[in-house]
Amino acid sequence: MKPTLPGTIGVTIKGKAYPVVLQRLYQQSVVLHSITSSGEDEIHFYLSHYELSHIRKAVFKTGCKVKLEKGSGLAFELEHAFKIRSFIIWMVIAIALVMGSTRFLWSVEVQGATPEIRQEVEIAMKELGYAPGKSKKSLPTENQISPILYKEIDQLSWMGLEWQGTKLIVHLKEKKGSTQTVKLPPSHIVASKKGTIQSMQIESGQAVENVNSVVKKGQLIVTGLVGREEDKQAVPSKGVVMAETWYEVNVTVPDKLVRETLTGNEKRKWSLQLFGWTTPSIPFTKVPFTSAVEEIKSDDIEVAGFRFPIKKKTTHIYETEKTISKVDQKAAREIALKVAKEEVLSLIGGTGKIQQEKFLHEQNDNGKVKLIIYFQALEDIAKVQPFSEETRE
Amino acid sequence: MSRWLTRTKQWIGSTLQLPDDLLLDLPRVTWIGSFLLHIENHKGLLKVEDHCIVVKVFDGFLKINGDSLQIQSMLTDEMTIKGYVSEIIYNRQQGGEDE
Repeated sequence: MKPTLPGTIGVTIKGKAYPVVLQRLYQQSVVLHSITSSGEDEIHFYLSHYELSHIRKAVFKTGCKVKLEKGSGLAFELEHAFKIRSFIIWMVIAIALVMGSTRFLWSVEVQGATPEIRQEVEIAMKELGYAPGKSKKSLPTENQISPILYKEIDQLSWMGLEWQGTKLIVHLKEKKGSTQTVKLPPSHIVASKKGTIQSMQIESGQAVENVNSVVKKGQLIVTGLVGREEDKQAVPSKGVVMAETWYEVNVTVPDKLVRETLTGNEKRKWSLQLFGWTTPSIPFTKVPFTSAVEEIKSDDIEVAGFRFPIKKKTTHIYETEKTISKVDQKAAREIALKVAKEEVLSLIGGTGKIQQEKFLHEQNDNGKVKLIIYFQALEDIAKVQPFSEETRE
Repeated sequence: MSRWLTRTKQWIGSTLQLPDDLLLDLPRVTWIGSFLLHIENHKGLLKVEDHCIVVKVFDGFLKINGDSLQIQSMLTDEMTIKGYVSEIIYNRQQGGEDE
């Protein structure tokens, strides 16, 4: 590429034949400036850097020595600038990128309140334009969006936006207390189980049964129709009906318990896995355990982030020991009671509790202890049964 | 250039009233004061020294004596010499290769 910018280079030519060089340069019609003699058989001049290539031809076979000075002029200034140009350009680009990227929203984090509200807020914010990649300036302000969010999300009591650099943190507070205005359909309360009512706490609705009355499954306890005979109103019934219920649990406990315990001895074996093919494990020696449990772990081999298709398989072999313990009558009862209690508790739910337990029957049969346990429990048997107003009778 | 060609050129110049330096490729020297010398139609440099510059011209060479002489610029057919010029010697010599 031919340079197009002005620039001059100082040249010193030393040698007896310098007139020949000058003559040749003249024939090549090279423009020279400030030709001075700088010593004996030595001249110094300046020429444009375009014509530097002519000097070599001119000096060819004259025995003159050419010394070039550092050039001056716009071309060299620019050349110097171009050397650090890329550095400066990338610096500017990097600064511009950093400065530019801080003007955009990168992520939205929603904090506080319940997951449902968070989800709703996230969706609403997205609709309002708070999506990653949007410029901060184009986003609506907090004052603009908060009324919309309060209106859209009932359970939201307060929200605040906080910028952490390019991250937007949305703080939320949910409403607490009597905010649940979900309209329930009119309903009765019926018994979910057979039992004797011990106590009733009716919030709405009218009780039909009294305390101490025995109810069957599905029997009406509280009616959702309140008021006088003429104009009865349908209301959603609500209340807790604690009733005494009974359970009989059959439990069978073997009189021998076989337990497998780890002794603590461990052996390891290694092998490599390649495309589903496994190499023989190392070491090859046989494991001296009579009974053992194996645990296999396979790890990817990774070097500096590159994952090889080979897997390292480690087999941990733990020695186990079998212990047989005989279960006597007392222990069997305890085990059976524990198991039965758990089962009953899972049936009667969280608010219920076991009042009384009694062993009804006990039998040793073929190395097994069979037990029938009777439980008396107190539990909430209220079951809400909605009805439509048309079909009320 | 042969003599008859020079003569023909001189004749054409005189009949057409054209300046001789254009036709014959002769040098035109402008001496301004004692410090600037303008030489047109030169044929190159022969010697550059502080006190002496020898310029080749069509029919010989120009020897310029002086002090602290310096060629300010040398274009293809124009040359500016700066410095204290005391004398100019025009040596006519056909070819003008050697001093």
